[in-house]
Amino acid sequence: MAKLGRLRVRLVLWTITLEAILLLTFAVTLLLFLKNQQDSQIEDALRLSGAQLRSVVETQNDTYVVPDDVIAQLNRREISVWILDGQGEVRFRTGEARNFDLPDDLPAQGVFRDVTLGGEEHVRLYIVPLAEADIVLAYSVDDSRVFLQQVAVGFAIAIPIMLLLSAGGGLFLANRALAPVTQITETARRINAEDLSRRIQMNLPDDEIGELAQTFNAMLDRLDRAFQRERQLTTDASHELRTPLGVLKMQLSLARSRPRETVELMTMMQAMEGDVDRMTRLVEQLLTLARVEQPGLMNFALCDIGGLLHDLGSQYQAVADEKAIQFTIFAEGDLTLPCDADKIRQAIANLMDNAIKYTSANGKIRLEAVQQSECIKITIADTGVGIAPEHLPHLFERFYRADSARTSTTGGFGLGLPITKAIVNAHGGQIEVHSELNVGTTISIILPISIPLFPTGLNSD
Amino acid sequence: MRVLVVEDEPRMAALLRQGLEEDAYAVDVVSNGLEVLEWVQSAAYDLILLDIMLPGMDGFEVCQTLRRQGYMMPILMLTARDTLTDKVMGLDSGADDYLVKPFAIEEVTARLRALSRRSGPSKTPELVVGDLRLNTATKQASRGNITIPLSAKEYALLETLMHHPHQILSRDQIIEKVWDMDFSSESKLIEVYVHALRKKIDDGHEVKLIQTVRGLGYRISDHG
Repeated sequence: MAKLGRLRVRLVLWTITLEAILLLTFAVTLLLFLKNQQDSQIEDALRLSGAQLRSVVETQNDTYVVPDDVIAQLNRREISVWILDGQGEVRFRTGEARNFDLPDDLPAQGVFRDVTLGGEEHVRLYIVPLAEADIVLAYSVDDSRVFLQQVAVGFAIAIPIMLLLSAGGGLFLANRALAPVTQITETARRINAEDLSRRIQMNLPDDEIGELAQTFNAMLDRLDRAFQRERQLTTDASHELRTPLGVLKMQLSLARSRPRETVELMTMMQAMEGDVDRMTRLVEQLLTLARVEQPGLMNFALCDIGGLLHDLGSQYQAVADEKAIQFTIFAEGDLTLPCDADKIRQAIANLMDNAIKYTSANGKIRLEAVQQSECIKITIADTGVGIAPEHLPHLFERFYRADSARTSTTGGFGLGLPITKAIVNAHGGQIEVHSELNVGTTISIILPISIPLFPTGLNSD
Repeated sequence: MRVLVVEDEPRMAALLRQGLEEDAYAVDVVSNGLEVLEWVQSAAYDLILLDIMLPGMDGFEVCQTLRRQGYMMPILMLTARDTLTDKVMGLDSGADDYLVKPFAIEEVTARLRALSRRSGPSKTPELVVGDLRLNTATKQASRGNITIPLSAKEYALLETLMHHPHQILSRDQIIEKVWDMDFSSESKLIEVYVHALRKKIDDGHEVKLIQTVRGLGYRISDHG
């Protein structure tokens, strides 16, 4: 939770910081813009009034006469006017100028300057020349300043409130968006190797987090299946080992439980040796299976499947002859591909063993390899007893035996086909099975000619 | 002592049969759980050796069914899994004891002896009638201070008689305890064994322990 909390807070802090920068920039820009606008309004009014006065003021002796309508206009515009003669004496006042005297340091002609009159009135001064005299115009900047201040205060109040609101909203949204993540974390925490059955509830929206949950669930499905397979393998393997061990122990205890004839002891020991051999074979097959299920342990090299087939075939020819089975090999053309030759040989040998075992006298077995577009297809076809349809889906399951009647002493362990499949998977290949009871079985191994980048040995079910 | 071995692994079953027969038990073997219920009706088994993993009906269920039907003979369960649940389930379903595979034959026979003592007349391995003693562990008989060597069948016959001292046992009752299903009750073999046993036990002794009760059967007793 602490980590999630940090992510939430971080998200919100980032959002707010960005928002604050944007809002402050906006506020400052707006204030500057308003101030400019106010200034130019004031200065325009001053310039306009100055020009107007220059054209209308009449000088009579030492007095300056301004027409009444112009004065009225100036008053409306809230512009105060002083007219100074050549000696700097004030000869005319109007508006606020009647209440205040001018400061001593006046700005140069045509320059605007803000001054404080009588310590309270903030005005902008502007001076236009009139013959010998100066016309001083003033416009109060208080209104403008108050306006700008109000706008600034408005921002100062509004920005923190907006930031607080978006922080709250952001936290709420972040919480909502991250709630499924909390659920995923909780689910993940409760999952362990003993119980992989839990899943994230899938009422999540179809967004990134929904996708994460889906991916997570799919991964759990795969793990669950893999674990179940491993557990089943352990159970089956220990059962397969326990049975001959139990028999072995029984035989040993029987052998020494009373004095026995040498012949009897020899018979018993032979039986025991048979059990040890069987257990050895089982352990070897289990090791082989474990090895071929790790694609990293394959030794890929260019190999001629045709040669391999003829080589393998010569070994089986004698067995086939003995059982009066007609055995043919067909391999033509360029059958070279990168593979682990020893493993492929074993994969084919497992299929050949079955073909020989389940084909009776005068039957036929055909071992062939042909090149197809991007792959090489190795086929073992027999006219044997065939496989019942209900067994076909389980054929490659470990320890699965199609004929359950076969006793454990004479039969295989049900590991040959799984080993073959694991080898073919590690080569990125496929196995096809066609079988009909009392007609025969055809099994094909299809191997791609290009080396698979990602062998599928581990994720095949 | 007549034992029913219920075990579906044929080699294990054969070895158990050999071991138990060598220990003077009459042994029948069945491989299917359902068949047990028929076999117990056809013979009075003293003991049952019951594997848990069975086709038809598993060992727990067989045990429960037997007990429900009123069969009280001791049942020794054979389990491949050494888990607490299996042991508890086995005992709770009505078994008297369990044995975890793999086991030695001596352990099986020792447990069977212990189980049969619970229902027998003696709490020690020794059965006694008068001055005749029979050690069920060593399979040795002695009268007075003289040890009497016995064959497996002779031992089985003597043990059956001594399990019920002073009681008359019919031919069929004896056959049921000493021979397995392959034995025909018409056979005269029982007279042959009784004769042989008499020679070994009663010859040269004043008190004749093995007595024939005409028309009823046999009895072992030290009073006339």
